[in-house]
Amino acid sequence: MSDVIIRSTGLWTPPHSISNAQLVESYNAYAARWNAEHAGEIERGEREAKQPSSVEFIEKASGIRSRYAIDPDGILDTSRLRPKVEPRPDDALCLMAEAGVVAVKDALNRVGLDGGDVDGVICSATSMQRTYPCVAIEIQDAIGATGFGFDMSVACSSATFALQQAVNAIRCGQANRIVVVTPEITTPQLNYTDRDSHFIFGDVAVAVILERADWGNPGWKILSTRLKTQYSNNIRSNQGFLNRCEEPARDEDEMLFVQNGRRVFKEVCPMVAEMILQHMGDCGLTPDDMKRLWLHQANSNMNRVIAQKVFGREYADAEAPTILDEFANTAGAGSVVCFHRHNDDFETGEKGLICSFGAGYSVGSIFVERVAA
Amino acid sequence: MRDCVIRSVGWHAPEESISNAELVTVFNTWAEGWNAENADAIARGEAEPKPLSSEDFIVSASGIRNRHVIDKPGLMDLDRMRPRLPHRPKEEMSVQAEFALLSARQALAKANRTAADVDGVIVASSAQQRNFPAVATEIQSALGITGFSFDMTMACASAIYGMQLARDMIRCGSADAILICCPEIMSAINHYRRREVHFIFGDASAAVLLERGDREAGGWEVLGTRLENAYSNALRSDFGFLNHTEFEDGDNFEPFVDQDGHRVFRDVIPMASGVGSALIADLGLKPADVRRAWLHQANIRIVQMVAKRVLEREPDADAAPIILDEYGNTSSSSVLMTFDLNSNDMKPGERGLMCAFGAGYGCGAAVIQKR
Repeated sequence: MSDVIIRSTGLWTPPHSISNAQLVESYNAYAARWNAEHAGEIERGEREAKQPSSVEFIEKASGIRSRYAIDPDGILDTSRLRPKVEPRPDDALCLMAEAGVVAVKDALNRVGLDGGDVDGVICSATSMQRTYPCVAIEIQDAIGATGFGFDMSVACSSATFALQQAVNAIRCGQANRIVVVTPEITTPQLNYTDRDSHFIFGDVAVAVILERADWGNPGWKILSTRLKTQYSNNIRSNQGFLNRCEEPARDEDEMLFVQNGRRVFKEVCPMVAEMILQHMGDCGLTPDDMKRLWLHQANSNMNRVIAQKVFGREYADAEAPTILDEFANTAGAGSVVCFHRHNDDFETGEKGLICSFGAGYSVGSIFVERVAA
Repeated sequence: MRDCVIRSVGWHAPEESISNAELVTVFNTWAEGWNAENADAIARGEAEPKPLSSEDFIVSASGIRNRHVIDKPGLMDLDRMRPRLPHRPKEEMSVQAEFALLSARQALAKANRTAADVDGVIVASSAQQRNFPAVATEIQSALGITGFSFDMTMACASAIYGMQLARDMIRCGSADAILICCPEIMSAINHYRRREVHFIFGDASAAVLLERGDREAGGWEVLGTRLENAYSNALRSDFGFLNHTEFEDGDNFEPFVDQDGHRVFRDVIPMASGVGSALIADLGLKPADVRRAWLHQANIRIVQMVAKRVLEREPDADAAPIILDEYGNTSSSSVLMTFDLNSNDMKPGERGLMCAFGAGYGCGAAVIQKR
């Protein structure tokens, strides 16, 4: 069996970004209007008034300062509060595929490859834009790749779980070079009328090219992968193909993203730190072997707790870098976007950890080592 | 690398079923009502009358005579023609996970395995009922399996795609045993007011347990798998998380299945038979070394033509068993059901081909040998 390397990564971001201040202004206008409309009920104690959001609250709760978004106008429009996406005809590239193709081409261009050099495409993201045909096949077709592909989803661990599938497929000889692409169009899944979560997500697509290590190209050798899931309802999104059959019909509020943030924090941090340390030990590695942790980018407070537990000490920002200030939580893409942005300074032989965690709950842990040509 | 075997298959079809006659009655009553309501527009040439369906049309187009469904009353209700499913709070088990468990538990029981013997759960089906948490993780939890799980999709070929992933994990040592679940509630995806497709699908849930070969004798060794894709819009369904950003309530948006049957027929037969033949050749085998082809049950003519091309002989019931007459197209679960209903008579050393194909297009094949 051949070892497998990450040859390169690539990125797509929407052209526009939304600051916390813009988001807060829009939410607060909505909340004030809602409170005015329900003033009588609020006065009688039948309903709770909506509390205003603030830039300070968002930064303190999450570390997020801005997020890229496919349609800021629709999100910020207080009479709409959700992106507006133009429906496309069947024969036009769908939005997810379009974002994915840009990220894949970016990754291919960085190492002088093109789509014809790829023999597998896995599209792994929090959710898919349609039942079928699979988005992976559309991306495969658009870049001119051969071979197989499929769609998969495991919320915020979508990319890492897919990386393991790609590694196994290459080791078993099913393919020589596979693209794992994670187009995360997450802003449509948010409830912009919910103060606790209206700021959480951003849109992005990230792609990873994996290939046989015995071809001798430089990159990042995959030392080991490990996946874990444990069921929880604390992060949930109920949109799906059965909604139209359900009786009574669901309110929109009940289909969009909702989480119990405190419980997630309390349950996920120890689960992730424990799994990383266990996995590290099983690989014969120690925290001192880790130059960097590329953690899932949900919340800077969570990452601080996890990184401190893993390192067993105070650590420098460069040892567990943050990108969520710029991108917000980009679901399955987060840890890989962090890797993409922060790996230039690695010397041959230096090691790091890509680790995702989130809804499910799910945790994916991948140790990598820089290899020269 | 370690061997990987199919240890067991479990499946479940709902008790209630709808015959062609019943389905044609409800469709034609609806179509005649629509035509009457729109008689003026039709007379002015502004609207096309809805064509009527018939039992002869359905049987000659597909071979399907019956299908099992999760909610017959909802489908037979003229004003609805769509299943009625409970809206459950998040603390209760989801409808799709519950449906999957009916076959998952059966697969474990048949193999005499418990949760402790299984490392992972993959839901491989046409669609999953929510964005997150993964339906697979809910099933994993209900079964008490520690380890990992994820959801994946490749339409009607999902089971074989899931099997290749599971086999690779087992061969690479990422897992010793993986349960693949294919809970297909196709009646929620199908379009019961579209004559070309209203008869196609049935509901069923199937599960297959793959594990390392050295645990116990018996089972079916998976000798090899092959997956191939080719993009096509000829078979399409548009349920997705962007729907509410693209359309307003009241917009005439129909995410249900639509297909260009003639194109699918023309494209899929060479593709599926090509994948099956290439796999058999890659394994150093000849068509004569394969006793049986368990094929995705989309359409009797597709099944027979693919079987004839791959096996290079006239396919009789022994070589290409048919179950679609009773169950319709049950998407990814169909190839597993066909295998389970038609494999007890095979002897150690005998080989068969599982091949599934459908929307995407995605096509997956596996050659297995009884141990």
